[in-house]
Amino acid sequence: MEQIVSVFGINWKLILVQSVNFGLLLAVLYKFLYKPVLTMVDKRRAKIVRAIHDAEKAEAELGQAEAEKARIIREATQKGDEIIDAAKKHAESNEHTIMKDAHRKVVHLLNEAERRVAREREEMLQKAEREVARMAVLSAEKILRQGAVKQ
Amino acid sequence: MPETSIHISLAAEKIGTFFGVPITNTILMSFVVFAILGTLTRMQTLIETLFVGILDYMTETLEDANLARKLFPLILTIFLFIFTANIIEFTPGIGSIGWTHGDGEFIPLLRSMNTDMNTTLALTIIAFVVIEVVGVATLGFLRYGKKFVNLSSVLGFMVGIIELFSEVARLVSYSFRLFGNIFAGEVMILVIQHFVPMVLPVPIMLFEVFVGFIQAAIFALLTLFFVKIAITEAH
Repeated sequence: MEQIVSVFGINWKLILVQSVNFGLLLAVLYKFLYKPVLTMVDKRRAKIVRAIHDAEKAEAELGQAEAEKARIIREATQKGDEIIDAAKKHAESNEHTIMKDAHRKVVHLLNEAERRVAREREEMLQKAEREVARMAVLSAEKILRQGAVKQ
Repeated sequence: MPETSIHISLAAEKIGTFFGVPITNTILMSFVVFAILGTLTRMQTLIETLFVGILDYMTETLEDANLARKLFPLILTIFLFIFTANIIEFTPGIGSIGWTHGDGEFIPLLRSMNTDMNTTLALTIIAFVVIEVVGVATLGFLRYGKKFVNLSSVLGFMVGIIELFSEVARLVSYSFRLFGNIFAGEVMILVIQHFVPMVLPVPIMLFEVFVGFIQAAIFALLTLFFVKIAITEAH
């Protein structure tokens, strides 16, 4: 054993020095190399995870927005149809009223005209009667006068 | 000794003392590695992808994201420390700049870090302690201890003893595997350089760089796997 130690030059002090040396190297590399690099890697990984998460969220939100859009369009179309229907119905009912009004007015006007015609005919008849009477009187007067002359 | 012979020393050469602690050329080399790895801190973005890959692999192996996160610095530092030391070992100047001692022995200023048992033992002890601590922290002392001291049956007791031995044997296998591979590579190149100084050492050096990578990966991966075994409860 002693021979091995002497042949290989094994010395506990040297082992200690090399151990300390290695420990020091480990400490230096840890502080200035491993830690910064691993921190950077961690940060990057976290960022990637966050980016993926964000992308997924954005995609979900986009899907929701699409669904919302479709829903709004559907509702708007439905509402528009309803409005058009209502307007059509309203117009139809208005038309009906207008027609009825016009009809009524026409009937009224016709009645009025008929009434006026009847009244005018009455008046004409009366006038004619009066004229005929007057003429008759005049004729009678004339005949009487002629008779008297003859006598 | 004349210069024509190859001088191979299993032990690292001492180049001085500092407060009673001998300073060897491998210790100096580890400071160089330290300095090189220090510059890595300026290349954070570049190695980010690599880190994520390693962390994901560790999480997959340990099946525990928190533990993987905690062990990640250690495993990666083990790998980087060994790997960097192994790939710079052929840099001109390392192993060739030095001085000759009075007795004709050449002492290089820098020596490949893992060709010193003290370094590999230090790393092994750190890995060993971490494995045991994580095992106890995850399973609890009694449940972890049950792996090694199992009194429920004779067979269980025997298995426990074998487990205990293999656990301790790791200390040796870990340190000698790394030391042996890198040291053998160095020796092989030294021998080839002695006979064919040009061209031939290049493919061998390339191969040794590959071996350096593999050994660093093995050391780090084995630590990871043994942690996984330690946190898995005995059946």
